[in-house]
Amino acid sequence: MICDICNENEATIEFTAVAGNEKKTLHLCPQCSRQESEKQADATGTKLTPGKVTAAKNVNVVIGHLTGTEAQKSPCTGCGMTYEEFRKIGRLGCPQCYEAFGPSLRRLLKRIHGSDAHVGRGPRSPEAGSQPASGAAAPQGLEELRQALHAAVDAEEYERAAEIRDRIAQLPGQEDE
Amino acid sequence: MKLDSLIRTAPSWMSGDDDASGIVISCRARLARNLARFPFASRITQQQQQEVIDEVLAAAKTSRSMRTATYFGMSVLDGNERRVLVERHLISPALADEKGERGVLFNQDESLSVMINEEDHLRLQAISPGTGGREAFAAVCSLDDELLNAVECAHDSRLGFLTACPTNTGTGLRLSTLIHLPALVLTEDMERVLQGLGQLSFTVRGVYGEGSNAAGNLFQISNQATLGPSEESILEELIRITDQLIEFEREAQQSLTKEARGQVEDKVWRAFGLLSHARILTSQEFMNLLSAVRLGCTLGLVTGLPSNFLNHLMIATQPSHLRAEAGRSLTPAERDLRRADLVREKMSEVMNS
Repeated sequence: MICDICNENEATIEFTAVAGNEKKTLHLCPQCSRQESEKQADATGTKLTPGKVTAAKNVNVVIGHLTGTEAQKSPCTGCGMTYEEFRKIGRLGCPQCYEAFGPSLRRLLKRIHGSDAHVGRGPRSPEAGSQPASGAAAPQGLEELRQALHAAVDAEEYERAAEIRDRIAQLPGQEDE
Repeated sequence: MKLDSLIRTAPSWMSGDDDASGIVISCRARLARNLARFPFASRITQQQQQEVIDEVLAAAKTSRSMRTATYFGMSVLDGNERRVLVERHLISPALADEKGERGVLFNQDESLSVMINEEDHLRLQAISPGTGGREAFAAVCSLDDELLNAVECAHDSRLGFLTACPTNTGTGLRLSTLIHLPALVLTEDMERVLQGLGQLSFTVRGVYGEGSNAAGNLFQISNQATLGPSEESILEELIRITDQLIEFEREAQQSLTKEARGQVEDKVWRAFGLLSHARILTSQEFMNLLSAVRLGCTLGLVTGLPSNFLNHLMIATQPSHLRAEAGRSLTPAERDLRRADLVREKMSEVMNS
C-alpha cells in the first residue's frame, strides 16, 4: 500500500483519527506519519491517546481533524476522469477508476459502507453463492492481517487488534517496525 | 410478446405463494454488474452501449432461465409504454428516462429481469411474492452465475464487483422487502421503528424506490451497505428485520383492535364500501382505501380478497396502465373516473367468484 499523503513511499503505519462521530483512516509512510502527528499535536494540543495506542504498536490513534490529505490529482488512465469530476457527478467513469483513485476512493468506500474489503461472491464461482462469508476464515498474509487489524481497531475491538498485532510482529521481516 | 398483452394481466409471479397475513407484499433482490471492457454509463458511447446489449443478449440466449425472455429496447417504446414497465417494477425510472441505447430483458412471469445500460451495464433483478426473500436471492444468484459464465465482469479481488456508483461496490446487492404497516402508522410508532432501522444501516423508501412517498402505508426496506457484509449476511439481516417488523405490526394491530375495535372495523368497511362503489378515485385516495381494506384482510374482518388480488389492483390502477388500457391519453379527471370503474369492476368480479 502506498502512503496516502506523499503517494510515493510504502505505507507502513495506519492512522485513525476521530473527529466528532466520524473516523478517518490514513495509511502513511514513516516520514509522513511523523510530520502528521507533529501537526496534530500542534493543531489540537492533544497527544496520542495512550489507551488506544496499546491496541497495536503500529497503529496510532489521534484525536482531531486530519487535514490536507491531497485528493488524487492524476486522471484515470482508462477513461480520463479526474477525482474532482467524480466528486462532482458521484459516478465513476470506468472500472479502472477504482485503481486510479485508489486511496481516496477507498476512504470514501469506507465512509459509505463502514468497510473497504469485499466479502462474498466472486465472478464465475457458482459455489460461492451458497457458501458462508469467506471473511470468517482467519486472515493470513501481511496485507490481510493489516486489514483485519484496521477493522478491529475501527470496531474498537482492542483485544482482537492486539492479537493481530502480535501475529503481524511474528511474520518474517516485521521485527524492526 | 407485445406490451399490450402485459397490461391486462397481473405479473404472474404475483400468483405464487404469498404472505398469508398480507403484511409483506413482495421481496426483491438486485445485483449490479458491469462488463470489464467497457466504460461505465457516464463515459460510454452509444456504439459501446449497443455492444453491451449484444453481448448480454447473446449470453442470455445460452442461459437456462433467460433463453426465452422478452427484450424491449427503450427506443422502440413510447413514454407511456416505458412507464408501464416502471409500474410493473421491471425497469427503473432512470432506465425509462435517460438517453442512449438501453433496454430490459424479462422472463415470462416477470419474476426475473435484466436492465441493460442503466447506471450499471447490468442490473439483475428477481422478485418473489410475500416473504420470499430467500427465493428472490437464490433466483438472482443463479441468473448471475448463468450470465457471468458468458461475460467478463468488472471485479477486483479486494473490492468485489466494481460499479459506477461507490454505494453499490462489493456485492452490488440490494435486497428489499415491500411491507404494509398500517397499524404502526396509525399508532404513530413508525417514527421510532424507522429510527431503529437507520441504526441498522437499512433504509426505508416508498413503493417506487428512491424519492417516492410511502403511499398507502407501504414501505420498502433495503440494505445500504454493499461492501463488507457478505450476500448471505445481508439476506439474513433483512429477513430478521422483516420478521421483526411483522411482529411489531401484529402487536400494533392487536392493541388497535383491543382499544378501538369499533373504529377500526368502521374504517375497514367504509374503505371496502368506497372501493366497491365510488365513481371517482384519485391515486392517493385509492392507495389509502386499499391499505384499510388490506388491514381488514389481515385482521380477518374481510374475506375473499386474496392479497395477490390487492397487489395486482395496485399495479392496474397506476396512471400508465390506465392510459394504456384506454388506448389514449387521459386527463387526471378522466383517469380518476377510469380508476374507480376498474376497481369497482374487479371488486365485483372477485366478490362474486
